[in-house]
Amino acid sequence: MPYNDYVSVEHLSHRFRLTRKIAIDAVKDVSFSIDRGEILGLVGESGSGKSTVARCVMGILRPSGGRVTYDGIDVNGARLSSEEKIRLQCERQIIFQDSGSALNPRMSVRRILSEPLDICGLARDRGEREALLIQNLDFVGLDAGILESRPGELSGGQRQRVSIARALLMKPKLIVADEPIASLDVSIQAQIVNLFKHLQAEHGFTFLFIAHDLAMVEFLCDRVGVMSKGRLVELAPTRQLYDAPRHPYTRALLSAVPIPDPRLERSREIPVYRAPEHVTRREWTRVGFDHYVLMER
Amino acid sequence: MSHEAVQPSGNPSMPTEDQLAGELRFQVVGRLDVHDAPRAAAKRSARLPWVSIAVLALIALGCLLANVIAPGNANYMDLASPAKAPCARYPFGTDMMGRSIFAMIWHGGRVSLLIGVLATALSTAIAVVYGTVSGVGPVWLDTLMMRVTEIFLSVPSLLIVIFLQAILGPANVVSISIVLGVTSWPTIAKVVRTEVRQLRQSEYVVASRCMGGGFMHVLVNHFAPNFLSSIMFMVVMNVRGAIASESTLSFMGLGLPLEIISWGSMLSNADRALLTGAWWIILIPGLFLVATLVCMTNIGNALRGKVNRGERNL
Repeated sequence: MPYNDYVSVEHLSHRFRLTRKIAIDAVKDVSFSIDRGEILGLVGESGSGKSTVARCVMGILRPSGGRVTYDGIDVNGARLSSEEKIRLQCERQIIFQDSGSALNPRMSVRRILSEPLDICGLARDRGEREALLIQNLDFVGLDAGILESRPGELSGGQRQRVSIARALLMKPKLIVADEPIASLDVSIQAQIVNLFKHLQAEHGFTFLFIAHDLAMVEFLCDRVGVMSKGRLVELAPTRQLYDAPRHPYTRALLSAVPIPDPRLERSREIPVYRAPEHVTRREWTRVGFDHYVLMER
Repeated sequence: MSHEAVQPSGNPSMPTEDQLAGELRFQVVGRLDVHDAPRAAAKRSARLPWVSIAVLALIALGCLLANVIAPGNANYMDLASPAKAPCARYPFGTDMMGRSIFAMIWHGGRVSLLIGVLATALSTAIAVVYGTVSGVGPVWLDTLMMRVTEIFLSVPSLLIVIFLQAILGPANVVSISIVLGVTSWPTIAKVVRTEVRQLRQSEYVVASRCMGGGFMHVLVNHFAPNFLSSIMFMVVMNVRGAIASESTLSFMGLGLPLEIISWGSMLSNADRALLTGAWWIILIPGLFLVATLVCMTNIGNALRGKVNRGERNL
């Protein structure tokens, strides 16, 4: 795969050490890249390493192998110039799954939103800051009246919007969203996904979107990567992946989506994916335009 | 809200002819009284200890206004009237050297309270930084730092105080505050560390780090508001402890020299007073000291009760 892109993840591995003897390989040899302004979806079952990849991309976790670069800057590089550090901090933003814990319950929305500005020393002037906060709340469909409330007083959807607004405040070029809709109910999920689509079109940021809701990913993303047991098994443009999945795991995952017709649903068979036990060779194979599959033999 | 309770009348399992044909199937039997939900009786500990706060405030105010209440030099010795019992001229009497105890109480209280506050400020600052570093640090650093505090706790603090005081030379208000401050931080540090360990995985802390928030930023904005309430009790108790330690040291002759008046150094003069039956020399400073300590204990306990009841982060 070519690595000439905006965000590139090269042979990323991450191992969590639980004790001296037990370690878990959360991510094994994952490579992909994201183009400028692209929305890349990452799907897979729980525990497949999606969040670990997101955290490595954000530099929260230090990968035990491989490299993540953002616009040519090594995210975990030891010797970064202060300019590069500031760029990494300001241009990459993360949105977490549980907005309840991603916002400090003791802070008002005003303080939560001001935090990134305080850290970077932006918009020190009071009126300017106020205008900026209101403008960003407006982007996510909230009004200024919410500024004095605390996260506990908001609904889940409002909280998630506040954390999106916080991410947007820095005018980021890359947003990593780690299952941003998983903790919301279905109607709010649709709102938030629409909001993402709208915001992405308006601001043009690059977006790594992690979810396990396949329908949402299909609706939102340009390309989709499928992860299973710490490996990226398939990566393809959305339409192609949904129309012609190649990897057996992807097929199993896609066919697990229920059909809203009880007669069909009852009669159909869901293929179960069993990982091959003795894999001697793994190879990324190009099977179509921009469509890659991990071949296991 | 008016709830009209509607109840079936008669025996529903055996409807009679009239009832089926007739009109009277249901009957309004009256308003249903809705009682207020039972309210828990206010707990005793929920109340603030107003008496203690008032007494402490009075003592603190008296010390602040020492120059108004007892103008002049508190060290002035009225050599004509040593060890004089309380009278109109000397409300609390005089000590063996003829100094007015009334003046000494207020001027000495300044020193005692100042030492308490200074020592506590220092120990809290050390504890917060130490505890936070230990809390966010890697496991080996955390283990190392916690073992150090345990070693520190296992040595009698009086020993360390005497040792440090010997290094720092003759005691004065600042040096004794420093000595008491650097010996009383470990318990607070342990509490801070535990709270920080819990909080550091919070996603808002992770988010703040991602945005480039440095150590002090995260400490001030995210950690401190969360652990402040749980260390408040210990901080108040530390003020109390510092005042008590200063008195102990002074009484043993290791603390402030005689010419610096504090409640402790007043007590250290009092050993001879016991033999002569001059009770006011020992009882009056003792009374003020004990009153202050009791008030602080009460306030500390009330703070602790409040924290235990109040909503927690998790």
